[in-house]
Amino acid sequence: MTPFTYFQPAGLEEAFSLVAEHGPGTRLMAGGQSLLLALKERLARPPTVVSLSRIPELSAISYAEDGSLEVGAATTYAQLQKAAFTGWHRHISAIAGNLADRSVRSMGTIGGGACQADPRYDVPTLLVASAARMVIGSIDGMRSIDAAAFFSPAGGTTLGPRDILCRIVFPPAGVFASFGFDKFRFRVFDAAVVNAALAVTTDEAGRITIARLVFGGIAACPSVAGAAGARLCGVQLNEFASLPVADIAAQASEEVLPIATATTRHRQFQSELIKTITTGLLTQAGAPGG
Amino acid sequence: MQTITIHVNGKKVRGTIDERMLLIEFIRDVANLTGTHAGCWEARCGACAVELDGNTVKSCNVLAVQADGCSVFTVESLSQQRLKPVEHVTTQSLAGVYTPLQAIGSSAADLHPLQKAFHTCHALQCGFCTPGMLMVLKGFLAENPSPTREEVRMAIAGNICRCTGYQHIVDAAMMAAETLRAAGP
Repeated sequence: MTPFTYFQPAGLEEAFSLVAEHGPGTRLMAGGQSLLLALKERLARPPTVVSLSRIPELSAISYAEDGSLEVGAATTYAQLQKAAFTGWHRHISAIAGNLADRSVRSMGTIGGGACQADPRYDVPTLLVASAARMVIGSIDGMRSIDAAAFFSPAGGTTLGPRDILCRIVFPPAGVFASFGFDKFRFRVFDAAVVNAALAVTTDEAGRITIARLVFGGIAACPSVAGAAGARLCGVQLNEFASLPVADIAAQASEEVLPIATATTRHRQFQSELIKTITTGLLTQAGAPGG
Repeated sequence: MQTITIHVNGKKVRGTIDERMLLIEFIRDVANLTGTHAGCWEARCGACAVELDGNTVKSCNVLAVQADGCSVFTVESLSQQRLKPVEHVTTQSLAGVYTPLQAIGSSAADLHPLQKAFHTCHALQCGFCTPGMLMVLKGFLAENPSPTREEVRMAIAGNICRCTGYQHIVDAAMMAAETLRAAGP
């Protein structure tokens, strides 16, 4: 590690002004599980580190009036895993409880995973699939953007040097008629080779209105299979069995990772994995209670 | 440099340290508790696991300044430490009393159920990973008192053992779970 000055602000306003004052080299640290690895390797040499772990409003879980779930950016995976959620929010707990390992989950945070924006991580895929809103603050005020706009297509995030991700707002527990997440990794604590999420909303008649199928680990930011998802629209959830599931999965695979560009063994493996995982997710979504 | 206070095993430890000091360095070099082992320094092996404010963390991937004011429990907290100085330690003298507990002046009655189970099930050979395994399993069994073998394996996924092949560690965890269930409320 190269020497740095360490700040541990106790409030959000203080953090905003520290970041503004110390300039673009400043790194924010929530749990530090990714940043410390980079610091030790000297891959990051920030002159200033600002810790966000002692800011109470950043690690709170609450509900908005409309039932949206507001999760502070510095909420640890362990907290999310233990939270008593209902509806599709239970998948947030399940995802948070099934990444990295026990000891890392006690320190690692959902906002850290989002800002790290490693496409192999589960958090970016979850955020884009669930169309979460990212609440970003800076000394100039608060604003919120869509998760899809948060991740830059070139990799990384679209956060400015003075910005701090403060909250993640997930849609209400009843929004999705079906939500599924699956991934493949070699060892349980590894980042995923491919991860995928499928979020489905329906109208009053039970017909699918939006089916968002998102993959992580393929490109520098989460990849949305728009055309494959669109094929599900208009179908009744319980009529999934009549759909050409394998065909849709193959289309999704071709859409996010065209086989012509899959020139390495790893890419070809990913392409196959997309089909397998998508087939699983679609079958699950069609099953009763999916 | 910053001056911080960490409660290590219930004892207040103050140190004026560089911001770059990791929690494991604070535990080993400032609090002088060398039971916690530093294996990989990159949050892979889990030998450095300790309890930080009730959660198990890998102390090689936490800055000591992050833990300022917090309470840390290390493997030494599991059982009473009654280390008496051993005079003239030689291979022969150790071989003479080759019951390690006796060698350090402790007794089996002092051991935490997990430690006892590790001892009984032969869940350690070189013992390097053991402090981490014990701390992670302690947290895990408190949360899930009747785990399946599969759940135990998932819980220790972040702890690497090169000796045992994990089989005996899982055995020990199951045995300790049973003991703790019987003893618990």
